[in-house]
Amino acid sequence: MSYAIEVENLTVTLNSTVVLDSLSFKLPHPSFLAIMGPNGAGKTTLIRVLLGFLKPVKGKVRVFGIDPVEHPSGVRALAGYLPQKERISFEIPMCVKDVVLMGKLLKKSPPRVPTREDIEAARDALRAVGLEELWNRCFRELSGGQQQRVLLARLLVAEPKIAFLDEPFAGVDVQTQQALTALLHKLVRERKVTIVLVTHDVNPIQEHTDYILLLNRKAIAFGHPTEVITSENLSKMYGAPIKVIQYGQYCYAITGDVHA
Amino acid sequence: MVNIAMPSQVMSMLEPFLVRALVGALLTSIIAATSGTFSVLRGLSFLVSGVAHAAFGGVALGIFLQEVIGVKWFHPLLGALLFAAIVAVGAGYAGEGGFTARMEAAIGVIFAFSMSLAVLIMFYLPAEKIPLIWGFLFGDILLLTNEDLFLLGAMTSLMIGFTIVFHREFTYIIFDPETAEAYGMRSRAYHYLLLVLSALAIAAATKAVGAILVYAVIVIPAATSALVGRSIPSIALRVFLIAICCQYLGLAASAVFQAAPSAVAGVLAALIYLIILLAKRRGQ
Repeated sequence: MSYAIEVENLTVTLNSTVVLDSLSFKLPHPSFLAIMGPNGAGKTTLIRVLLGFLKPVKGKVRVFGIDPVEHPSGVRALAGYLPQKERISFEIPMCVKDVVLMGKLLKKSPPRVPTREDIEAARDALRAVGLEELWNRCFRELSGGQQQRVLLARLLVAEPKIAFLDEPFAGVDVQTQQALTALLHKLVRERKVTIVLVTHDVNPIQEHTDYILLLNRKAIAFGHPTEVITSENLSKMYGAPIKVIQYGQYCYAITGDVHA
Repeated sequence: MVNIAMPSQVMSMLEPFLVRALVGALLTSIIAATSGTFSVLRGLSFLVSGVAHAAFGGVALGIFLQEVIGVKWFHPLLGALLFAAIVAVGAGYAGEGGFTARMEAAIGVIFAFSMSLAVLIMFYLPAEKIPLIWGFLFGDILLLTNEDLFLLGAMTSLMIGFTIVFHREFTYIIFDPETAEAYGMRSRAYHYLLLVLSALAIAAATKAVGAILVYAVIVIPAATSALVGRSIPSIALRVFLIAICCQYLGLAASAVFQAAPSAVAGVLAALIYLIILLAKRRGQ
């Protein structure tokens, strides 16, 4: 079996505080992984380590067999990324087409001139998220949901082998959330892309995921949603009693979005 | 009472100093459209003022080294460029990872240090050299020398060249540096490149229009255009047009009414900002 991600005994510290502690898991390729945990659980830190932005103090990390610490460019050539909203300057006036094309042009060398194929691919990606008519619009004038969909189109056009999405559903309505999740699910099944998605609330997406990692500095649980989402695991992760209700084969946390 | 110049007098003013002023205004407007636009969009308008005042400290150091220490090769302009680069690198270091507030604080520290250094140095300089330093703060576009123009032209060319080649990279590091880095772009290198280039260009413009008015000519048009622009190229074009119109009107006013051209340009630019801001607020 080929693995998209192999993490063994990973420990990361930030400003002398341990943010990830002896974390281990293996994610087969292609698959849809949701990482869930309270604030400060190390979810974003894990993504940053996988992309080679942060150096672990201990442990082994591999993305498609590549060490992101030694060869960050090797991992980044395969990766797509959608950062947390706070990391993007939404007030910068950019056309939607330029935002989407960014996904294609960043994979090229300067001067990164778009070819006809690049433009066509960007249009296709925007069509895939259902926003083709916004091609010439100003990005900052769109609604929050539309902006997230445009950013997802930017990720699609990069044709990644593995995509990291950090809280892509923050401030997004239920309808958009469902559309985006279905699209991500399709990416895994049809284009064989591994998706790593960080979320506070796994309820709306767990049916689409293959694996869930419950994280609170340590791995609380890792496995198929039906095995992982239990009252015991969630209570352990949040340090507070969490009840779940069962619907079909899945369990749903009835507290929804929990912030520790 | 103002002196109204006759048309014949205006014509006779088309002398080398006026041509230099016209070219200087054109080059400063290009710097405004590039450095000014990127700095304002980045929320770093303080960079312009910080660089201008740090360059003032650099000039003081240059004159001190030449006159007191005897390091003849160290031209005061070299000091200005060196201090501008220090502001850029210092701000860039503080702001790695996209922390604009930290960059502003670092600029403030170097600003204060450079001004303090200038005041300290002035104490040890011969009295006749002091106006040279103050001249940098209150530069006059009508007094541009060929040497100033050469420096301004060189820095403008550098800024244009790098902006043409790397405008996407500069846009990406302002819009979303983390994704740019995650996709393999060297965000950090472009972060420093943009800051250092902008700072050098601003230092050259400061020599032309002075430290105080460089803010008016570079920042105000950019702040005005950012209010209404829908894309970075359209903002840069508007910045250029506002900056050049204000400066040429300033020069015209100086010819007709004997008013200081940069001061007129500054007042005009501020008025345009105010009008656009009011119009935008009414439209909301």
